[in-house]
Amino acid sequence: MSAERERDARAGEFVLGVADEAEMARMEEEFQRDPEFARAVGVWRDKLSALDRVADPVEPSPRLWERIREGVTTRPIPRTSAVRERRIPIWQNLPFWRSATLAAGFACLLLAAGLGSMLMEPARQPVVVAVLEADDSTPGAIVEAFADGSVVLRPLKALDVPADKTLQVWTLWDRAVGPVPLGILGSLRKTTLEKGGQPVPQEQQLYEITLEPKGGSPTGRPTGPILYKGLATSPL
Amino acid sequence: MLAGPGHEFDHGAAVRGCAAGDEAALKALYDAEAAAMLGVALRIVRRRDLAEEAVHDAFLQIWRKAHQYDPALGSGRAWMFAIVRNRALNIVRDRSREDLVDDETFETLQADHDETLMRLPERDALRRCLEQLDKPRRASLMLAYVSGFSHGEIAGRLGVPLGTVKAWIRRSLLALKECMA
Repeated sequence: MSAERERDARAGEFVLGVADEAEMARMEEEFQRDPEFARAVGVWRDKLSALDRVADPVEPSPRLWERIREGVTTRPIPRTSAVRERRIPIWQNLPFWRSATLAAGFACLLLAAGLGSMLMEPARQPVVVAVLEADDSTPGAIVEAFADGSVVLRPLKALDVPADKTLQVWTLWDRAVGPVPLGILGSLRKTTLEKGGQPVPQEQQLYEITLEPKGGSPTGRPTGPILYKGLATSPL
Repeated sequence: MLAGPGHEFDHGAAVRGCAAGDEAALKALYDAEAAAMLGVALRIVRRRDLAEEAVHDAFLQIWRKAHQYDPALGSGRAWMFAIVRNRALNIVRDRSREDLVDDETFETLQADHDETLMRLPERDALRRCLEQLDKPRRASLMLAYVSGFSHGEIAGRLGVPLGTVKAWIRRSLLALKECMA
């Protein structure tokens, strides 16, 4: 099969959404990274959308718009207009990650709740904190990164991890270096990760948790879907 | 604002409005497409409450991701429907389908799909090209796109090996592509 046909077939599978989770995640990554693949995806979306047009319309309940509106007004969006920014690999997509700083104020509130434990150990003041959010902006975990390189992860909600998967925590402090793995977890629970040899954490440093094959990413780079992500900010 | 086929509603412009923070643009998209999107989500998740959840999440994503929309990668309308389909697929992949489909037989599903196809205009390229596929291959594609089945679920429903379904879908896609070119 020629490279172009192979790409078209994969793009079609991506639009159908038939592949398993790991394969869909790989294709999502390809969609973000490869403009040719993204174009092929766009062509399939247009072609197949005729089947959407013939679905029986169903009148939504009156509450639905109100709920959407509430979601919209409580969470302002970043006012970036770079139409092509989606093509930038996500790790280099600063405007995208900046939206996560919206969580900064929220982080302070949540940290106030977590201060109890920190007051017990006054020497342990994190250099930066980050609230990691899911794609729909619900907060999933807080990261506290300390000057000695340790990172404390506090979950905010329960998360079921399939038996054959592992959660992996990553950070990005230099786009030239790329994402650095901080550790793997079998489940989302309060964990201290000790990864030496890292620079002192700084503001705007990205933290994220991805779902990887059991034992962690085979490539040393994130391969699975991003579950939570957020940018670091310095606590006052 | 509910527009039928051949409508003039400019989805792309409304999506750009959302990117600029114009809530009225989001409402216009909602008025134009929410009912159609709910219909599409319902074909996949089968439960009204879950379908509304998919549409709810989709509109929040449309709002938040509007600045990422690239008209070079397809129409604004197709982009919106891709988002709601993805939300619906996430919902069904997180549950076992038995929770969602009560006593729907495979035959009913196939009859639904045949009817869906017949609703496309007779000379529509997609319809013509889908009709050229042999029955199991067409059924696989419709199960995937219309009902949101995965490779594994299609293999289970059709009682054929997973590899066979993957090959069917792949070849059907390529045949469609060629036929519609």
